[in-house]
Amino acid sequence: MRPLDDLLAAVNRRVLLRGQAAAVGTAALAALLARDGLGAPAGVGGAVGPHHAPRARRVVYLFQSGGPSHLELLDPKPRLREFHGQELPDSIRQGQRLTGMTSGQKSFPVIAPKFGFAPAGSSGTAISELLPCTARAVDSICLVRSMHTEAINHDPAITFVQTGSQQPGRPSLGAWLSYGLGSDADDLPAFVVLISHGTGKDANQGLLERLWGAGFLPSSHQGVKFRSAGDPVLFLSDPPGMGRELRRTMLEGLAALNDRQWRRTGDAEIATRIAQYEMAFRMQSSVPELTDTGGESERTFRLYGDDARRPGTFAANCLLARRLLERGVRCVQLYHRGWDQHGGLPTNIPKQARDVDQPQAALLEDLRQRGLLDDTLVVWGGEFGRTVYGQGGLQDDYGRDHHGRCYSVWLAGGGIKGGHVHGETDDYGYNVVRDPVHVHDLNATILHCLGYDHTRLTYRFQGRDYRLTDVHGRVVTDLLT
Amino acid sequence: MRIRGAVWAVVAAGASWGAVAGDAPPDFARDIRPILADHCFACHGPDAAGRQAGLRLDQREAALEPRDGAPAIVAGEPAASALVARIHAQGEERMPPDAFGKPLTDRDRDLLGRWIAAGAPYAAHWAFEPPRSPPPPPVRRADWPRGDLDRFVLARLEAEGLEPAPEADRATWLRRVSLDLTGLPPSVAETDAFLADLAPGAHERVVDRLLASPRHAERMAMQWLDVARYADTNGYNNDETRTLWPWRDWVIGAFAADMPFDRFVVEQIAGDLLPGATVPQKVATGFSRNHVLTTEGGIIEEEYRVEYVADRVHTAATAFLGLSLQCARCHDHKYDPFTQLDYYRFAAFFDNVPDTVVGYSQGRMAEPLLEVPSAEQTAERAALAARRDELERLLAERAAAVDGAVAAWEDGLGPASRDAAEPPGLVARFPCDDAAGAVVANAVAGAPAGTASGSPAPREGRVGGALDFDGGAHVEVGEGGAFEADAPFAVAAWVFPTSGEPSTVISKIDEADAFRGWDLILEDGKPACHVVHRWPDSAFKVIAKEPLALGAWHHVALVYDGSRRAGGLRIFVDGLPREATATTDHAVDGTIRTREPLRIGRRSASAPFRGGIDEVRLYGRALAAEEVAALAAGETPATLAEILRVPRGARPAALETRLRRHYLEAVDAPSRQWRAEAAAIPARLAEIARQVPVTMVMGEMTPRRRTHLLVRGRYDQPGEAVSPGVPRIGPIGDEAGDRLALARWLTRPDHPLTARVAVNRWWEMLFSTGLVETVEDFGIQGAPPSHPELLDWLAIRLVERSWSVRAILREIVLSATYRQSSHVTAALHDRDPRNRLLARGPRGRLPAETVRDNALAISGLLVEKVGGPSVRPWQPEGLWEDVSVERRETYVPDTGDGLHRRSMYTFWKRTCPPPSMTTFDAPDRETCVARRSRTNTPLQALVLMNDPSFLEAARALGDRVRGGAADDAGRIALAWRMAMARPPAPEETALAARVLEGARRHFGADPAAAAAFLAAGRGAAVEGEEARDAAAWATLSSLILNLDETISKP
Repeated sequence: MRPLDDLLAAVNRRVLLRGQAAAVGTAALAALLARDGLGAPAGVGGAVGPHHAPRARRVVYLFQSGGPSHLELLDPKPRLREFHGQELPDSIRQGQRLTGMTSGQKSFPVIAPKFGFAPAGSSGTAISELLPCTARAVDSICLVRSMHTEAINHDPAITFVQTGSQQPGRPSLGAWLSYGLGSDADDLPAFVVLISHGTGKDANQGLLERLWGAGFLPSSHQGVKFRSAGDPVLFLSDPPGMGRELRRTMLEGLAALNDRQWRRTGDAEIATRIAQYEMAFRMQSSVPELTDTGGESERTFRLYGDDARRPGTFAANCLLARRLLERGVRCVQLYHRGWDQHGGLPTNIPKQARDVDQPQAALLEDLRQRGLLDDTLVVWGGEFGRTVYGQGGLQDDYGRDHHGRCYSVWLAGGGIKGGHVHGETDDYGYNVVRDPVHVHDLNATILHCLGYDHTRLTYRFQGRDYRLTDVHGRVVTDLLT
Repeated sequence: MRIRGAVWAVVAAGASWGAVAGDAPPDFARDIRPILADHCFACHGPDAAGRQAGLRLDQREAALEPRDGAPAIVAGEPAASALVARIHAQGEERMPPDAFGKPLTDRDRDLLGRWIAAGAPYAAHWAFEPPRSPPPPPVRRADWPRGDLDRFVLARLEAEGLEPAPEADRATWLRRVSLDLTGLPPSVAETDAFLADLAPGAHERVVDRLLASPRHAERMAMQWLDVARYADTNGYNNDETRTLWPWRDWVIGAFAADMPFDRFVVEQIAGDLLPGATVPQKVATGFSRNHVLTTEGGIIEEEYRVEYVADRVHTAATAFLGLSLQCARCHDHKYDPFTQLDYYRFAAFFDNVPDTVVGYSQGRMAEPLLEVPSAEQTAERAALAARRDELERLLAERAAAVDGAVAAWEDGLGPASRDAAEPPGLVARFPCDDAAGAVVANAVAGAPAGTASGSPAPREGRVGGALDFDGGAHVEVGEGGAFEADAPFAVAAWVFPTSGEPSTVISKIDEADAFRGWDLILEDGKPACHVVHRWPDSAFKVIAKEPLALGAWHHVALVYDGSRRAGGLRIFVDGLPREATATTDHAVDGTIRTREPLRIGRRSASAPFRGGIDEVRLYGRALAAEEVAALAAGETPATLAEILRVPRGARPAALETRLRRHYLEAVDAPSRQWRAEAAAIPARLAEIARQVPVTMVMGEMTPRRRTHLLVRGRYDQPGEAVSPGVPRIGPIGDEAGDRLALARWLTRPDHPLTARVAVNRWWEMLFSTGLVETVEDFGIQGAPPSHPELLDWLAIRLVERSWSVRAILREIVLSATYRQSSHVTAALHDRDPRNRLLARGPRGRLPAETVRDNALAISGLLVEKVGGPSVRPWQPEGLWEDVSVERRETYVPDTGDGLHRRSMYTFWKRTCPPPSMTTFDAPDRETCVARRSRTNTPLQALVLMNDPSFLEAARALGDRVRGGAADDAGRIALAWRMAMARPPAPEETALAARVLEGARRHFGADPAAAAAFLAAGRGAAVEGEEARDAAAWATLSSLILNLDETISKP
């Protein structure tokens, strides 16, 4: 494989198709492709080829923003009924730090979840009654009940999961993958972001562009947000009145003039710019075609549910994610907002669960039917779990505070052991008692599935070789087939 | 791997350019240290804690020390050196170990061996030694250099066997230098003038004109905003708006005055500590307050305070030293000679700030804050204060001269007026004698009575009976107490508290509507008052320092002057003003009216009173201290009517005084007019205070905060206490003191880094790549300089020229090096794709801000106004809602000049920066960024094609050229000259005409399309034939604004 030569051919083919005289020289192209001046060998699009045979070629991350409660959803704790209303024992709490929202509480009464769990699938994994569709898909997923994080507040916690650091400034997971893998799509970015607002408690915490930012990586690796209202990609539509034919005329003129300038100056950046305009023109057709799900079958909508017809819902975004993955996008990052249930949890969590349950199970099924699940990694999770004790004491419509000491996520697809449960928490769902998985471990495992050794996917910035997992992380092989 | 779509994310150029020595002995700095740093220092470097086997290789003496077995290095004897043996070993003996993941190459091993054979010479890291003053080297082509600078460049080219490029034509240089120095293109007139100026010194005259322009100051400030991570919001989850633009304007002002760079550093680091520090010097320290600021609920404050300090350290070190000290936050630096102790001593300079972490909804900015009034605001404040003094004098004089008039007035009063007389302003008085039938009487005629709920019991009171509240009872008064924040009022009551729980005496507050309203409550027995438009950012709270004794009667009163601030409210206890603290103090910049009733004994839902309440009075004016004293003395039941009943000669002096005051306040026309005027002053002052920008600045705590080394960098693991001090860098260091000492150290003329880092940043601005490419890292892992002597020469020159930024910029842009044509042959491009050897002029896409500013300038839309609050140009709808908490924030574009100001003034929201800026590589401004990436993506094409800002500019440019020439060819030529400062070639004119024709056909066939197309942005009202032509020209103009040449420095 000689990616550089292939790309050269690709660029020159475009150039030649327009009858242009000059072609890009090898060195010029090498210069175009090298990463930003730091001298590492350049792959195509991405900078670093995989370190080993990847189990997955793409990833879809179903991020649940706000901190979904593991106790109501994925981690059954039957003894909580017997502990209900009792003070959380010090032996369980172990004096660890609490957020400022409950650290002043005088009492920490245990609250049993109001929702039941039942064994599902041939593995018999117990899943909440709030997630019936997910329960039916349980044999496809690997449930990790022993996640933990140091962060106890949204901004640091979500930044930690997504960038490997609680503080701003680092590249996001998707940016690392874009940097590593490059794009597999002709006319789509490598890394796409989709946002939905929960019906439980709408968008009660903020999102931040840094979560899909490029940090110190070249800014072209930042995630491109596909929006449900207005242009799906910012500034995609031609202005009213222009028309495709005139746009074509204008861009042909532009290309001819830019080409002339390229020949005059010899600056290979201009050749790249010509190609980028061509891609922009193609995106103007391909993106609306991609986001228009009107041609999907009734069967598909039955699978994902009626919400999938409403742009901007989690269901519509799951369907869109499948269409993006099909077309070669490497990393699709969904955010579903609204899980931050400090109060009113029994009222709101069923709504949030309903938002996601059918669509996420449908996505797994849809990917499977299309033969994509085998090499697509699906990750589901939030930034932390929630406390077993009630925020604001013992109440009927109780709330739970942030809890980083344990929470649950699940994975599925490429390289992941289906129907498997990893890790265990204590009877209170408060501490991990077996096989802890740290945020860095999860990220290391995600990179591993995609063919990367997390210790070697590095980028030198200010004299240091940075990585997603900082100086930590280990691949959790028990999750892998 | 597939390669389809590979051009998606192509990044501008990077390839090796440095020649590697052939058989010559390896050069330590160039060849050896990078190998040791990358492969060895992690375990055998400066980090004492991480050091393995007690071996360190970053110092020659240590590396040559005798050890068990062989020394690591025996100078001149590779065969005797353990290092050589180990790097060639196999298996477990091998170094670096396989597990380290960074194996040496054969070439590395060869170089290390040859270096040891040559005696293993070490050299200090170049950047830590002061710049040497190198003589400009001799060159063969003596006619090429225009100054010494060029000789350094040419000598290198000659050594490489390369020729410099020919000089660019004059128009190209003019456009290049205008874009570089001002961020804006030359006008057609400026180009014509320069082309016509054939007298000697024409280039110098242009440069001097550009440097003197306010545009230059803006352009230089623009570059600094990334480094200083300037933004208009706090960042983090809640991301509120902050006001740091006064700091941004200070930066512009500093460049406008060509402030010497050493002063630029000193004032930003420690302007507040300069003797007699001025407001601008304090504003300058906002540099260290630009960091992100969390207000997220539940955060642990110390954790974030520590992060803010770390951010200040990181930014100052990157900005001025070109070093990352971050590695040393958790352990000794792995590569550069900085220990963890060095880090925390440096951090101690920035740790002694009396900043508080701002909790959720406690406000937008953290102390220390500074008001930055404009000259007009300062003048108006002074005028108001003078007028207030004058009015007080007039009133006092009048008061001393009215005895006769008072008597005459009294004599003239009829019996009816006498009986009805009551001091003005009493709007409600609840004697609270009983609550029979749930009615609580109001003694003010015509004012509504209260309704009791929960049956407050009658009890013995201070004035007649009183009501007893048990925590469940309270009194509601439908209408009453509807005060405003901009008008004076007073509230008084007797209270007999029996509980230290929060207890409401009286309130008119809506807890469900951001606590709008006011109250008088007891907290831990301390009288306190809230005045709230919206809690907490448009509200104040004042609380007395001393609590009331429980189980005793006290008279409490609030007197408020209508100034909207905590300073306008006084709390009286038992007739005397009491010391109180403003725990929240923001201007109440809106109404405090609420539909909630006035309540005695409770807030809308909370803080019920326990104990007795008696004689509640509300006044629609401020009471004088003696009036409150009189109330507390139990005298006030005497109404004016009662005073008048006492014969004049028999009245006590106190009653005479009150009568005179009543006359002055209620009757005497001149006094009333002056009083009215004086009463309006606090509100006006409050209005000014609301408008005066408040910005964050640095300050020092006394006594000092104890700074600790933090074990593994963790906020909750303090280690040894440290005092502030600078790290040793080469020959200088170890200075201690405060931030001013740090600033003085940074600006020492012999400092190895400050001047080098500065000139390198400007070099990068002009040549796209710094002489040291890693402008953010001059440390051992950073890139070596391409022209070390030139860098040193420039650094020394900067200091010699009294740190004048302009002197250096002038020297560079007038050099032959900078004047070269940027055109490149394929051969030269292959040889030096990134132009590190400078055998041609700089060329490249403009920075994000300049891409847009250039379009605004070419089209004539640009509104040039320096400074002020940030503005909001076009932005697609819904972006802020996507990310903000509860989707509560909405971006509303400006309607006037704000649409067309320079992009450096665009409102910068950290969690959602302006998309057309980030698309062109602007960073998010959450952290210090010294070097932007330069990418070339299809999203950039979409912005230029379809962003309304650019469409609007295209339409305006079209209109301009249509009005500027008679025929198509003339108009095309004009557009070219406006956008590219050159006339089009015939081939270009033909291509442009073809697009124009296509557009005319399109819009001619579809007039509605023309109207729709012209509606972009603010729209244009043209119809019919003209609309067709306007739309066609707008189309061609859009093409021109998309041209690579237009968006590039030529």
